[in-house]
Amino acid sequence: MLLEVHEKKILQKAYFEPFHKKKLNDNFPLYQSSHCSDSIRLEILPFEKQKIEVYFSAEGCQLSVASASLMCESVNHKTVEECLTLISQIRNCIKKGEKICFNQKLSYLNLFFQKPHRSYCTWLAWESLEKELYKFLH
Amino acid sequence: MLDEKTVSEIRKDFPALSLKVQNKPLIYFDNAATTHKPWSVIKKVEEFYTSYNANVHSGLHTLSEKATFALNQVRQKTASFIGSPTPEQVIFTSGATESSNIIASSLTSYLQEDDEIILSYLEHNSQSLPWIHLAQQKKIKTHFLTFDENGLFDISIFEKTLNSKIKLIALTYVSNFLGTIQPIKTIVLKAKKVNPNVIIVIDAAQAIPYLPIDVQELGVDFLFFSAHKMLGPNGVGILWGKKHLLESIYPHKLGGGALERLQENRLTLKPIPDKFESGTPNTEGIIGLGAAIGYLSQIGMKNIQHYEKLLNSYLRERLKEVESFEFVVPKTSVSHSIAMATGYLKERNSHDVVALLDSKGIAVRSGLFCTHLILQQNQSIPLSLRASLYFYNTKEEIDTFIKSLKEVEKTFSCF
Repeated sequence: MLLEVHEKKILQKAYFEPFHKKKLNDNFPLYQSSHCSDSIRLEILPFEKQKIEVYFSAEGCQLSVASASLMCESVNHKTVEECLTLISQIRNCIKKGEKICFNQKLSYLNLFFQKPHRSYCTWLAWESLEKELYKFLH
Repeated sequence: MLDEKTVSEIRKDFPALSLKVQNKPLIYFDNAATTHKPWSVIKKVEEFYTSYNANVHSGLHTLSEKATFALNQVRQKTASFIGSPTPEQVIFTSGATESSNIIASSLTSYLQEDDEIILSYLEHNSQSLPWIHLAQQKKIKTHFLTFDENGLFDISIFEKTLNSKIKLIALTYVSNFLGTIQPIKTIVLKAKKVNPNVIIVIDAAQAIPYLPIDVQELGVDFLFFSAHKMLGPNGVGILWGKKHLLESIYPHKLGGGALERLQENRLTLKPIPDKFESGTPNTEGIIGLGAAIGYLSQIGMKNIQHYEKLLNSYLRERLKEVESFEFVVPKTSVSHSIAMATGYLKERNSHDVVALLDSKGIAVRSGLFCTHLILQQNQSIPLSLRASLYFYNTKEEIDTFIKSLKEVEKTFSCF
């Protein structure tokens, strides 16, 4: 792969030592990729002052797990609105074919979002979180 | 006869085989998805655009006549290649998917509510989806043929399924998931014995690059395939059908080239094949297909089949050395399969394995290969890894593939 040593280390850490990964049972909805066998469950817990924490369990390729881990880290202790804004910013970047440059850690996902087939693996966690956040709001 | 020496000469005909990927010499084991093209095909396509580019059929000027002549020559060549009694039974389409959809949409009025059809769990989505959709619309009962431990259709179950209500059987000749060669001739004989009018549609997309095919000997009613899987260009397919069936069904699309006569509001369509080929065809692609057939014929399909068996046997034997590799169907025999191995590394996601192999210049495919029905027979089949070889591949490439797979077994990060 074409990754630089530093980027590689960040993504390896996200996969081998994922942030907020835990076992989630059937009570949590299962989101499955329509393109491959990747799947994810998410748990949103209230933190303080309308802020939240997100936990995940995932089955799938290393990209999907690393992406979910970086996501949980990025949205940690943010408000739901802030999380939704972040997801929207990423979606805009993908739609316009632009690189993620507003968040250094998430910019490590750029390479995967540029690969058409792997973008599904990388995006699964984010689109699942968006759905769960709207449920959480209501 | 193909041997290592002739294959090494043959490889020079394929410019893509000398590519470097990730700074490594390309090892292309994704031939079931598409094959590389020899210079003869590339040059034929170029020659069309540079020497006689024109729209075909009704043009009376020199270039149009030349293009029409070339297109009809390919029809003749294709007919000979698959043993068609007449060239008119060869319909040019955009690919296997369009071919399958043409038959399904043209047979809509043939199938009625109480009818039954047979598909299999090994069908590619291009064959299964049009029929499942039609069955849903018309409330037709669909039987799904299972495969056995060798990856072959279970004939005893097939025989039990046969009854007079079965109006159509749509099956693959060679599974694009497992590479297994199905006993189509036996299936046709048994089905026609129970109901001589049953229509049998065969997806030969994976068979045509590897096996000598004779549609009359097989006894099928329709057979279709794509050009790009047999060295030809993308966007071209062939639909072959029995003459009386092609003549009796109405085309799925109408337009320029199909009209014989228009009197007041009454349409009279041209005879086959024109009535099925409305619109400007992919002439350069079809001409490229002609060159591909020429190339394959020159090598000889029997020679290809023989060499593929050697590669298949060597590949399967060497894969046993990869400790954590599991075949999806372990008992598949070399004599009943093309040079394809489908499996997975235990405890590893196949997408990650493919990414790692790609970093070593090796192109293989991972996933379910558009054969989602397979999970309905066996849900435990994981996302798989498919290595599909063609006659331009070598034992040395297999050696490198195995060495790389062993390295991948010990590599825990695809980043």
